Amino acid sequence: MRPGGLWTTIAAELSKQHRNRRKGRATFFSLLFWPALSFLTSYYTMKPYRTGEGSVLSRIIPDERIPLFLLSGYLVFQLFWTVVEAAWIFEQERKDGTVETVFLTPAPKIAFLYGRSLYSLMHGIWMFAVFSLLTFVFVSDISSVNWTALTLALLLIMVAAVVWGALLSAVSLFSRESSFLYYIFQTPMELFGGVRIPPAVFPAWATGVSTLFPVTYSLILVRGALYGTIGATWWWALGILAAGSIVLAGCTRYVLYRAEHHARLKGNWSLF
Amino acid sequence: MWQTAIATALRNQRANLRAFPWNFTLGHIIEGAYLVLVSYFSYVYLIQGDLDDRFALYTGTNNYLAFAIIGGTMNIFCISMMMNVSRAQITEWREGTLEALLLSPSSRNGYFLGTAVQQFYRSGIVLITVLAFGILAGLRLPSPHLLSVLLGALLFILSTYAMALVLGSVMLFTRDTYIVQNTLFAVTTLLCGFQFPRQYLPRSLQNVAEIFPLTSSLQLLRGALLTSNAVSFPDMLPALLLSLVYIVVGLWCTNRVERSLFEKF
Repeated sequence: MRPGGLWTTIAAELSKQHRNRRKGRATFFSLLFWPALSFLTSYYTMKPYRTGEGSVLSRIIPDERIPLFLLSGYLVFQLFWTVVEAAWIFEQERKDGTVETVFLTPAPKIAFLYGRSLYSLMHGIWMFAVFSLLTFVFVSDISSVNWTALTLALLLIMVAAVVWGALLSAVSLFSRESSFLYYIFQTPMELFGGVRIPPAVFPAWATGVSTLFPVTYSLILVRGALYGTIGATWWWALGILAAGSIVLAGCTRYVLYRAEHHARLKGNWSLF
Repeated sequence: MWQTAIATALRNQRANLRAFPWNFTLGHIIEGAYLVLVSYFSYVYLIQGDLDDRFALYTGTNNYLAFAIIGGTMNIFCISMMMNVSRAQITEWREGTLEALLLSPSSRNGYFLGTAVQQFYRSGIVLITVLAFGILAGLRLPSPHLLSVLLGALLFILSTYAMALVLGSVMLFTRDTYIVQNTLFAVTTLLCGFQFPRQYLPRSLQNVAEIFPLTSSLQLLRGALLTSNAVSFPDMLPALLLSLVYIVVGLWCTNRVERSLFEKF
């Protein structure tokens, strides 16, 4: 591999993905319209719960923070969901036979995986802008926002999301059927990650499940920064997310190595 | 017509068992189980049973868990059923068998009915599994009026079928399943009152929901399950009429789309 090959490959993958995916109404619907509708549905689902003075809900989420709570949840959820989508559409690459072509070139394969994931994130960037803008409309007290912490948290979350997406893409190298990703990650990530219900109220087993998703830590970081409540938990979440991303990046390398090894042994990429 | 219906149901059943993966069915079961879990978590851990006073006023019951679980289950059932029935023709088109179907003198009504009956088993499996999760999560019903529940269920199935026919013609026209179906499901989930009483929505959105027969048939079915009041014929009339309109429009549109289908390419 010549020096700089890594960046050339990432740039090439970005441009390829851009040409493939920028067109079509699918983008608009899947990135903005559907999440907006599902945000509204969750908002109204909370309406039958009693709010106001002395209600159980207001002890967990103060009344005026409900929209902000849900919006920040959906913002982070969408960030991770876009990269899950990158892995989800990986099956297209296999069906079209382009993944074999990529593996025949001398390009570093790891850059190919990260390029895919990174593009998915950039692809959704305008939607995050809309969601963030809405989020700030609902911030009742701008002065409580810790901007340094928020910027730091968002940067780390983006890195974590790209790493997460690359890992899932690497896993997709083993199977042509990647729609299972949708079923495993869509709703569980929403429920256990704390998008709609704060994990603080979960029973022990559910808290255990929620520690598996990077969304959980990301939400602690974002909500902490938005409410200006940065304590020991916040720093723990930051540490775990950073360390976890490094571990997952290592896992990605290993999975890729196994996949390449497997391909060399079997002579082709089609497992069935 | 009946012969076509039976033949279509049998053929689809065989094709499903032999060639199609269980992904859709399994996926819907997982999704339904999670909907139940979300309701359970919200009610038991988040609000610990602390409900708004208007809830009982709007629904006539205090049983939030049953309300939410029935709603979630019905949502998954109707999505599963609509998705499978409406995709029938576009799947034939993608596989190349639609031309043969159009050339044959078989009844189109029979074809759709057969598809619906076969998909009813498939969605029924989803329904039963999700209901089992619901019962585990604490779904308890008072003594419902059985005849009303049966009538409500039939009306709900009819509305789902009617909407699936229209959806199918739109899919065939746009050659797209992904965007059309998911947009419709996102809209019905918000508007038809599956997860919360729709009286909480702004008035204008409540009015928009009236164009779907699902809205009133869901309300009837859930009402019959949750209270022991009997369903009367005038209650059923709006959903019944709307469903008939949808069926007529759906069949007419399908006919129009079919005519122009092969000239485009």
